Amino acid sequence: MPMVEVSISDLERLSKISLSSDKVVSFMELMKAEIESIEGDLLIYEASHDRPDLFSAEGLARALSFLAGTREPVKYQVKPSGTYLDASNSPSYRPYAFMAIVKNVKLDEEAIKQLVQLQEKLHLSYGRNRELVSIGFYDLDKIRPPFKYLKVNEAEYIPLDHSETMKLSDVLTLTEKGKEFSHLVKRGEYPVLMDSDGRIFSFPPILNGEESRVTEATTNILIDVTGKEPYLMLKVLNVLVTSVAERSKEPLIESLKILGVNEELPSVTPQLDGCEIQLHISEIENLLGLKIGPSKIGELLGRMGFIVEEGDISSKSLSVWVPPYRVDVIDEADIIEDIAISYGYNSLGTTLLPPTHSGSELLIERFARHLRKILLGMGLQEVVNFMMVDSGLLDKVSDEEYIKVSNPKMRTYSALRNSLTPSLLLTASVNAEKFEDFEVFEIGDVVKRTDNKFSSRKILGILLTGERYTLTDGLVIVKTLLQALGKNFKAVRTEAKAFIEGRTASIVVGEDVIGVIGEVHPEILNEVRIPKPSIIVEIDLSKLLNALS
Amino acid sequence: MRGENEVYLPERLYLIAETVCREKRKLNARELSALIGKKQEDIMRDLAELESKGLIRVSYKTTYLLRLSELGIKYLESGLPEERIINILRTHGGRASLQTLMKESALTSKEFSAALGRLRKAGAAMISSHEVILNERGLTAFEESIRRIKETMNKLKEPLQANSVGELKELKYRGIIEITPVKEVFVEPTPALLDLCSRSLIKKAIVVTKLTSDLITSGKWREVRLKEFNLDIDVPTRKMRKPHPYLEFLERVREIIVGMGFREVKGPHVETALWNFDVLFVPQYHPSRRDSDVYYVANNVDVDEDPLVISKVKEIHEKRLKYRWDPRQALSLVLRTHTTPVSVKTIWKEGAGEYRAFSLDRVFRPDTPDATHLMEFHQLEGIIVSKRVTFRDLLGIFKELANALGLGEVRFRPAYFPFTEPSVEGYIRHPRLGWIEVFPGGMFRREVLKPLGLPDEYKVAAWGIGIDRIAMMVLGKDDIRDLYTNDLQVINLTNLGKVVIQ
Repeated sequence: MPMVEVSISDLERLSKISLSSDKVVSFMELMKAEIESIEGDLLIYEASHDRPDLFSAEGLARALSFLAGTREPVKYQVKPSGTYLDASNSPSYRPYAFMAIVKNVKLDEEAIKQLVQLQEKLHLSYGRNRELVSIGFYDLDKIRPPFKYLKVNEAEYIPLDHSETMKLSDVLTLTEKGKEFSHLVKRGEYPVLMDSDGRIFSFPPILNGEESRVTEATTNILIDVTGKEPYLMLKVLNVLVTSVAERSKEPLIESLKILGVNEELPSVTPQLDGCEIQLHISEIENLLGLKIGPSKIGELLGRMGFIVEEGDISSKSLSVWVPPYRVDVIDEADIIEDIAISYGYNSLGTTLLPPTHSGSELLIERFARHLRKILLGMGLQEVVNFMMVDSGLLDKVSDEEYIKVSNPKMRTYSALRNSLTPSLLLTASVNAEKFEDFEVFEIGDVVKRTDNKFSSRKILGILLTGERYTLTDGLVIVKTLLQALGKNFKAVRTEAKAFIEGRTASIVVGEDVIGVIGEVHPEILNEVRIPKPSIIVEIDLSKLLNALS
Repeated sequence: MRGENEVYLPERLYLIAETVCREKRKLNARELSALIGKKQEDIMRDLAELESKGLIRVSYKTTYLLRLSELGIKYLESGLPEERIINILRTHGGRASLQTLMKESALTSKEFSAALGRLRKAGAAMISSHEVILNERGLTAFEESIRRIKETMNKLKEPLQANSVGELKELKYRGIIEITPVKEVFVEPTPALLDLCSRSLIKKAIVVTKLTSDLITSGKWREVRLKEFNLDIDVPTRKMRKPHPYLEFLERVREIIVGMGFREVKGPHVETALWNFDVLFVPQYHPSRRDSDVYYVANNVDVDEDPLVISKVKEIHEKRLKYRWDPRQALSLVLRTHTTPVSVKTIWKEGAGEYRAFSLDRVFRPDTPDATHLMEFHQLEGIIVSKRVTFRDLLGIFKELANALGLGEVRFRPAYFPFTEPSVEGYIRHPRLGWIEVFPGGMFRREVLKPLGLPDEYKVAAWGIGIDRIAMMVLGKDDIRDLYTNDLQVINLTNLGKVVIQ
């Protein structure tokens, strides 16, 4: 979840409410935000991923003022700017671009910081780090509409934080951002934004131009989103436009015509109409288990920034206007959650639905518990290990395929065990120095390849480590265990990578091989630093269960 | 074989009984102890024990030890005070002044006046205010009594034991003799003992420190005496095997959730992204799918999923979230990041109906293990599928669970999960860390349930609790790694009582 930093005085300035720490804490809970720290004027919080409108101070202040009742939600007015963005010659791999204009804003250092933060957080959480959506802000007065979004083979512009022109191909190799995001563009098919003077003012998704940089002097802002996912881009654009508008006492939001996009997509942006969702009164009780009257619903939703449209009081449903920045609200249930939040989760009360059936556990779990009791009774100590193990260890002890992770954090946990042998060897190596000898067991899941598929299986593993042990001691345990279950077994000579040749056997009950037993190979003992003879038994619980029935 | 009436006595008791029998008389305990070569004080408890067995009778008698005192020895040499006064009077012709008498007798004034008192009382002298005159008439009898006293005194030059003190009290009072009472213990055999002895039925027993199989089966336990156990000596502990504490905790959790009417289900640890994310309405651009948050499987494995699920999930994502849904991404394999796929697969399989299911199993998320993080942990997953279940019922379930696990009060906060709406996080109060989140859950979205084919009138309350955090609290562990331990020392030190009590 994105970590957001805001200044409390900026929040107070924007929301026109004074914020004590207590107030901040209780408000933030309703925003699903988790406060990381409040130190002086600095509030750091983890915003909920579904609320991109709360990724910066502007949206947060807006939400707080609705909650505090100092502001009423109103719908947005958008005026046509009379100009356009031509995207008809866009690169095929990033075909879409939309724009919006917000005039009359007042920026200072903190406001610019917030815009940059909002842009960054949106890139990360909605744009898959600029791959799907890339965002830019520009000083509208430094460039001349109309604009073009087009692909070029090569060109020059002055990149942000530079004073000289640079070739696009050089931007990719010479600038920080260029190196970081060069994989998102195709050589010789670079996406650029161009004004009517033919000046390139941005190289999305890499780097904006220096000349149109937004500064504290900027009052009219052009916002662009370019990328691969048009609807995601439109959502992001709405969050951006409505946030930037919060930096103005009388914001003027203007739309541009978008040329060259397919017919399903809007030909004018931004689209700040929001949407209407039908809220069925009965559905609130259905979902929450609590009856709430229509007038109360209006009050609760008002505090969350929604507008409940005038309607027949006796009607079974209400029409709720959802503001355009609430991109998380797509269904009735989303509105009902906001009703519950506004009502207060801890005020809802709790109820208990009696069960209609008796509960039960899986047969294999019950069987595992039975085996645990038998083995404890035989004087073996139970241990637990992770399913994740070192793939290097698995390579040494297993000749069967195992699940390997493509992005391990560390080699120690880079694969899933396909038998309990690696876990038991780790157990032996942890305890070998501390105890002269020991007898342990583990019942746990492994992921094995059978046929062409991997599946989870429950295995009983037994380990005997100590100078005195031979295969006989393992066989004794297997015989005792199976006798306790009313079965006999045969030990049939076999081979396995982890065990000594000629001192390894399959455990056969009836016709079925249910497991394996062997003396661990000294080469392996040496590698995992176990200085004593070790016997390992593995029995597949499902196979054993089958053999019993 | 042992005879019916044999009596086995430990060594010292045996010796006493045997001696008393042989002597066939009342024995002084002092004498008895001398006979058996022990000190008297050592055999007193034995005597009490033998008496309680009805083998001897113990009686007590007080005698007096008489002996001449220092003063008595002096009087014997120089005469009794009254004797000396009589002698002086005689030398003065039968009468003398008090002054003369006092001076010549060299007696203390106390002795002097006591002696005069005795003379007068016996009528052996008449005493006026200034002189004493012998009275020959009473003198004879008085001198006779003096002679008797001196005779007694002579006898007592050597100490003498007497049954009573009688007239000697007067001499004790005068400080001439000393009388010491002596309590004497006497032992005599009872007829029962004499009878046993005559039939040789009194036997010597041996003291043992431990009962043995041989003693029990041979009946010899009757002939021996088991030494009394010293309970002050500390004992060592023994080596033990115990169920693994963490698994024992999981068993407890399983017991609680089964008791709430849930049926256990299980799903694979290696899952397709389809079930781990897409069915759960997690958009493909969602950051929780990044490889910093999910372990992706490197193996090249054929994956086949139901085309119906794929097409329905594609439809709902594209219609509701408006982006291009990529089936290839959905078919990549992951180590499941939660157990929620098990829940949605259960709904897919079971469909409509009133039921509850749970899963208690491992999930995986890329992390570097430390005291509070693991790359692998357990979740307690649960769903209630019902026409009637509500969000408030879900909150009620959390309260019930907290109560059953002894976790105290639960507070609720709004939360976000892509697959539930409303979503909630339940918090409990940790003794040191304050409020910690332990109960995440919510009502499954329609966007999740529709592709699974669950009719609209059914709702699903769902949760996936990271149970390890609770396990740490219950087991009193500060390091999460200690839950999954294979270290026999750590296992041994864990207090299992906590699992049972909480």
